[in-house]
Amino acid sequence: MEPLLKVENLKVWFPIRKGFIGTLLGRAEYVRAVDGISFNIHEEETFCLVGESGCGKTTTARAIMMLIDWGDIKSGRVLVKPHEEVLTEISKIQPEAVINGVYVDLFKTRGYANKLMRREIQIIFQDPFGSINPRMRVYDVVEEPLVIHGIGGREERVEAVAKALTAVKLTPPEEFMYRYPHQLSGGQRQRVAIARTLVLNPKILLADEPVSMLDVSIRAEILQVLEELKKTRDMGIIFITHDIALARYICDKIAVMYLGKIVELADSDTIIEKPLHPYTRALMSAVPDVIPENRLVLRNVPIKGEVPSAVRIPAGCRFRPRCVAYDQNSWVQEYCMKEEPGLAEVEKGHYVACWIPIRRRV
Amino acid sequence: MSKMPVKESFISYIARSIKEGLREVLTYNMGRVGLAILVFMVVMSIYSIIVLPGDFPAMWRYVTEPPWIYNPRSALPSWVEYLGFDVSETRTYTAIRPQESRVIINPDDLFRYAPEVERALGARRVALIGYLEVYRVEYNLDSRSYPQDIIVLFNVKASENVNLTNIRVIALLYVTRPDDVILKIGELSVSLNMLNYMKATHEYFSLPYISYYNLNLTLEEMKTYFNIAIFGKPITSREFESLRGTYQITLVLLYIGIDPREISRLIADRSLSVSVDIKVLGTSYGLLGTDIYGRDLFMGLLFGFPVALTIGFLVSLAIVAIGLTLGVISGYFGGRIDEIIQRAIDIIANIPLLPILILVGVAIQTQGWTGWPALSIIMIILVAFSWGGVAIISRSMALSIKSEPYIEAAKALGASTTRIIFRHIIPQIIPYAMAALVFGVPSAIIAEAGLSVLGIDHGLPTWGRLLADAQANRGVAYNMWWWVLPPGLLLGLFSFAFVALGFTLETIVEPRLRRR
Ligand SMILES: Nc1ncnc2c1ncn2[C@@H]1O[C@H](COP(=O)(O)OP(=O)(O)OP(=O)(O)O)[C@@H](O)[C@H]1O
Ligand code: SF4
Ligand SMILES: [Mg+2]
Repeated sequence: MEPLLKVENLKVWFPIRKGFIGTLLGRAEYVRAVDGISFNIHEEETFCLVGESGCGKTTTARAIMMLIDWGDIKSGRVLVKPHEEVLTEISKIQPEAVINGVYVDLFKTRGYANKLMRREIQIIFQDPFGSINPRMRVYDVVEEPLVIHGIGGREERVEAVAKALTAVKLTPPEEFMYRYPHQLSGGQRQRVAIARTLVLNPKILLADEPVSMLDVSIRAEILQVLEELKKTRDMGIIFITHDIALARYICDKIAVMYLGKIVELADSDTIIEKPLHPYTRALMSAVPDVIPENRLVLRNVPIKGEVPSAVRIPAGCRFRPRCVAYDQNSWVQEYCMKEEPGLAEVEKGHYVACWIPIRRRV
Repeated sequence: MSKMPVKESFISYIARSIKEGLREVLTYNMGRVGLAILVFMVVMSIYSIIVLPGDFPAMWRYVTEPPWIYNPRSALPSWVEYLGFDVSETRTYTAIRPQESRVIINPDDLFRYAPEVERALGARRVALIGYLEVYRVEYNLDSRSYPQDIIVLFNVKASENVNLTNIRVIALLYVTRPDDVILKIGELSVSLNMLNYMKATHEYFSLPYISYYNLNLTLEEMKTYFNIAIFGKPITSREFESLRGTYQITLVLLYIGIDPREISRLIADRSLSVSVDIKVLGTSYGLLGTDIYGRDLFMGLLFGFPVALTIGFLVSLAIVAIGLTLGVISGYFGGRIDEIIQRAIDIIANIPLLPILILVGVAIQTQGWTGWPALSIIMIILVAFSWGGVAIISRSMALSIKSEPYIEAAKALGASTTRIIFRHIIPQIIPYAMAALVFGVPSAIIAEAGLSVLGIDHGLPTWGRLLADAQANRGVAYNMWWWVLPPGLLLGLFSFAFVALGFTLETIVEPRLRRR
């Protein structure tokens, strides 16, 4: 089965404004927010991007959503397998964007083709308070995608909105349609935001930390809604979080990101139970223990230093300045210094970008 | 489904915002006062449009034409009488019926039915026959101030088969004073088609009057002060005092030229009708008095209502519309267009508006433009130089709204730039724009008034124009408070209404200012 979405060697570099002198000297400097990442997502799969703040998760999502200026996308492509009718339409109006007869290269779409592809991938943002226009009623918010894409007459739209609200458990829908965002709780708003993406029936749903701003007590409901949607609608979900414990709970696959790159990728159980990258281990040890008594035990967090700036990425392995394993394994140091490890499949379906497992395997 | 959600359009969104805003405005005292004044202004404007003739501006400009010449000049408002001012009243006797109307074939009948003709001071006996009409009205003078004049207005109507040029009218005007002295104050002999109006004159009574009272006055003086002679009695050979009491004004009309029986028949079957108005012009008039030309100041002020609202709203609306559009474009798109708009704002902010307006005013006058076209040019200049402020604020609001997550969400949904601007950005700016609109209205009016006072004449009787006229006639106008105060007060009231509304709106828009 082909993946729904293929991200290939995606690089997003933001140029830094350097002021007058810098411009004169003409040296271009960049924030390398996303620095060459690749992954695939299949139907009914929840794919997690995990990493600490600033590692480029949101930038990845925005790139996939085509919310980044084309000029800032340094390289790479994103291929999406759209619905049949969208594919037919795009092969008519922009055949050069169609790859292998099933995929559409997002970054090659322009104009109407681009608009069509936006139906296929949708996003839920972190902030349920900011991501909904406070002056629009729930009905108008959820209907907006249909208006934008000119889908359906009035009655169909009302029906679609009611269906979407029901799907996110805002029932009965009539009770919520006339409300303003300020008349809803955070969890209800986030559900409105989800309903808004559903009316377009997307193939891929991005969720950028959808629960991190919500009260712990209502997180589970939202996650459950997402889980159900994935099953009932054959969607692929990209779930972004900095909480690896949460990722394990809801994801099928986890990709750990560090400073713009994926450093480890595998089934969620594999990653949690058998992390191979020193950074993943550090993330794991930061998770509170499941057994309450153990939570008070001060654990040794195997990481040092601070995240370096995404402008001056260290040579060799980009994790080296913070790597405890590097200090402990002198044999690997020459590799780590010289060359950046690529993402290699060290076991079946388990990819790591660290010289220790790679070299040991050899 | 119980209720069908109706998709909300941009227009209905705006309408709903206005409705909700209005309801909220009414919860504030300031807002209520402002709104009440505004409603008053609107009602007056509608009234003005209904009662004033379409060519009122032209009528206002021609100070030596009717109806102004039939009014007392520099008359105080009539209600000042109740404040203790000693003024004589202006009375109009409209479409009065003749006391006598008959065919006379015996010359003596004239003296029988209109004894004034024979008994007036210095009257000569003339024998006339024809169709006679005698009109009499009474006027009561109880004031030290002399009425200014007595005039008679005729309105002749006839069916087509009546040849008016064939009928002559001899009109004789008399006043019987409380002291029983009868003065002949007017005589006219014209054909009926020329019968229009007559006014009091000294000519017929001056000489007998001087000798009767043994006065030491020249004819020239009698001509100038004929009204004092009519309504006053001499106390020395040169000094007068007003003569209080009841005056009887008698108008004698004698139709000659064709058979008087024929005229009698024409009048009886309404083929010919001569309607007579007699006006005694006192020193007080109407609701707000008159200016030195006799123009009814109430009418002038009334005309000012719709003009003020129009100038204020049009200018302010244009300023807000242009400022909002350019500001949002500037903030949302940034880059080159932003740079251009910002520089344009810098330029208009640094060019002094007043000299330009004065230059334009001079240009308008040399081109001979008047009325609405001239006013439009002034309004366009005002707008062109005033949109910067709104643009700057709209820009900064657009900048901050642009980075809201819901804008990114809309983009992710595939919303076009137009949709984002009209559906997501502008509605957030609308409340602010409303406040700016309301605040802008009085500025425009005050600017117009200022320009009028500075002498830029667009020829429309605005409140500013009234003030300017009063100022141009400086010598008299300083005493004529009823000429200066009402337009000034109305300008103040108008501004106050909008400032009150503006503050209320601002409080609503910016909750931190709320006192409750
Ligand atoms: N538009 C932009 N221009 C310049 N730099 C940017 C831009 N957007 C993001 N960055 C930078 O790119 C890097 C990655 O940011 P990103 O928002 O993708 O991180 P993140 O993983 O989502 O972090 P968080 O968990 O805090 O949301 C950061 O260093 C950030 O400062
Ligand atoms: S490659 Fe070397 S520096 Fe990088 S993570 Fe592995 S051990 Fe550490
Ligand atoms: Mg983020």
